[in-house]
Amino acid sequence: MNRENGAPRTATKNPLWGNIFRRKSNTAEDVLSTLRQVPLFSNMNDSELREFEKLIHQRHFKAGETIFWEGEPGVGMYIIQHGAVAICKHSRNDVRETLVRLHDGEFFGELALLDESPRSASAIAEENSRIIGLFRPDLFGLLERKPRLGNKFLFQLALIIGERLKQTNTEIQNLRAQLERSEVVL
Amino acid sequence: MMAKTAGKTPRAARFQPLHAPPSGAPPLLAGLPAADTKIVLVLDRKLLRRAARTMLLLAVLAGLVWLLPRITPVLTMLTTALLLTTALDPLVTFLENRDLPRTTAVVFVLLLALLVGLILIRLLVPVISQEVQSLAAAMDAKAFEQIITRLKGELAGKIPLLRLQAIDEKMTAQLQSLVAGFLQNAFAFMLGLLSAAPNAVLVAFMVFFLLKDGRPLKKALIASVPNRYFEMALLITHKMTEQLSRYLQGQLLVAAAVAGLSVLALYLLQVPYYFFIGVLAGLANVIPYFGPIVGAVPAILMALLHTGSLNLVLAIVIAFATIQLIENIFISPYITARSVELHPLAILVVILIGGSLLGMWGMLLAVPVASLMKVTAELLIWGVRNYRLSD
Repeated sequence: MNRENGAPRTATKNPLWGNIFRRKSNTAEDVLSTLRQVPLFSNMNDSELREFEKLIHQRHFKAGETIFWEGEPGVGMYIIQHGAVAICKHSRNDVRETLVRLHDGEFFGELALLDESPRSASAIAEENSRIIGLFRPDLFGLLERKPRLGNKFLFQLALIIGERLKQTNTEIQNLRAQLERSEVVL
Repeated sequence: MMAKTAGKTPRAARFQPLHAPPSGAPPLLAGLPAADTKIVLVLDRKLLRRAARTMLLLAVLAGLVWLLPRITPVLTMLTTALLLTTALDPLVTFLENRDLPRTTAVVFVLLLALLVGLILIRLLVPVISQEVQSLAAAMDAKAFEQIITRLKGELAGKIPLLRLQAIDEKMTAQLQSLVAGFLQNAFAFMLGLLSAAPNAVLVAFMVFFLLKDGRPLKKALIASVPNRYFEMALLITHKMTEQLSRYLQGQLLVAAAVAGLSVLALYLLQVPYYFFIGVLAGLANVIPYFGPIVGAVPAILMALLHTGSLNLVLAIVIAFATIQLIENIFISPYITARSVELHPLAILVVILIGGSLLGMWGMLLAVPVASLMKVTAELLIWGVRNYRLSD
């Protein structure tokens, strides 16, 4: 799950200077502007983003609706266009523990783009949300049809996963240091 | 006073009297509502929704039963187009991979298929008409009698104990009609393949649009799936397409290899009409277990009719057995065409059903369609087991 630095960028709409000949609908433009905010697509130009726009699925979730359940086979990642999503884990007593709350422009479930292993947590819409889904079968199809673009995306995905790994390592080191200090105190 | 009992009240308690029966009611009527008692039927929404859904499903089923026999030709064309699309899609993807736009790649592949088709027709039509004429000549009673006599002589030479008087005239006539019927059916099928040209144009259009817009179409269809089943539907559709595509491509490659080997073997053995019989054997190979036998029979009959030589029959049997061996040991394992396994009994039943519904086409389409149904069922069961379908 990613939290971007700073507020998400919003598409500027100027009725006077906006391109009135643009053939793209508002929804398609919305999708493009959402994709531009996501670090996974940060190294891509507009024509490449349009290729991804053809692959993505737009879904609407009502508040309280489950996007996916923990333990289900993963199919792909989601990007929040508008709304809020809670990533939760359920304990044995069926008590829900929210791990993180995600908002516009943030994404989750990207590890499922690599394999079908079970989801490690559930994702539940906290309010009425418009969400973009990018799924493994479509990504694999893109890799076969346009390997250069697919590789560009996979490289970016590897960078993000690597970044997470570094952060996790730092956190483990901090925790170990805390533990060692507490043992000294004890 | 209307009690709201949705989803909580047991069914027996859903009939509730508005007023309790008067306390002084005669014992005979005890338990029954009094004459002036109003009965309020409390139907919960779930029950109503379920009933409506069942009725809708029944109506759709009835509609399908009424509609299906009327649109069988369209369905056959659509199934053929879908199967062809699945088989051709990797070629289009390959060209797209080489930086060709999708539409251009589709047009290129279809033009290539058209070219191959035209060359085949150009080569085959004169040969077919010639072979049908010579077949008619071979079916001439006198010629047939000569063949039988020659065959009798050979059999008597090989098996001295055989009572050749048993092969009387009646039997000869029966054998002649049987052989003629079989060969004519085989040739009618081959001619039928060529005469299906008008339908082929429609199928080609369907294949064009399915190849070009298949992905957006699939995306639009999946978009209508409710959120709860969305991921499952997406994964199942993908796995289904992948498995079926692998199966079909494998089958086509194996059929082509068997056809090529059969044509070569029959040519070397100098069996007449070697090309058609070889192609027929390749096509029949699509039908597991029975296909190889069906493919060998015309060659044996042809050898018997033309030469009456049992040595040639033996050579043909050995050739077909060797081809099957090569297919099973060297071709199929590398192509992994047998990924969808069906029980022989199931294959027999679906071939019979296909044959009774659509004739020879039905027999050819039966196994791929049954495989598709089997894969779908298996994946649906997998989906139900792995996904949480209710909140």
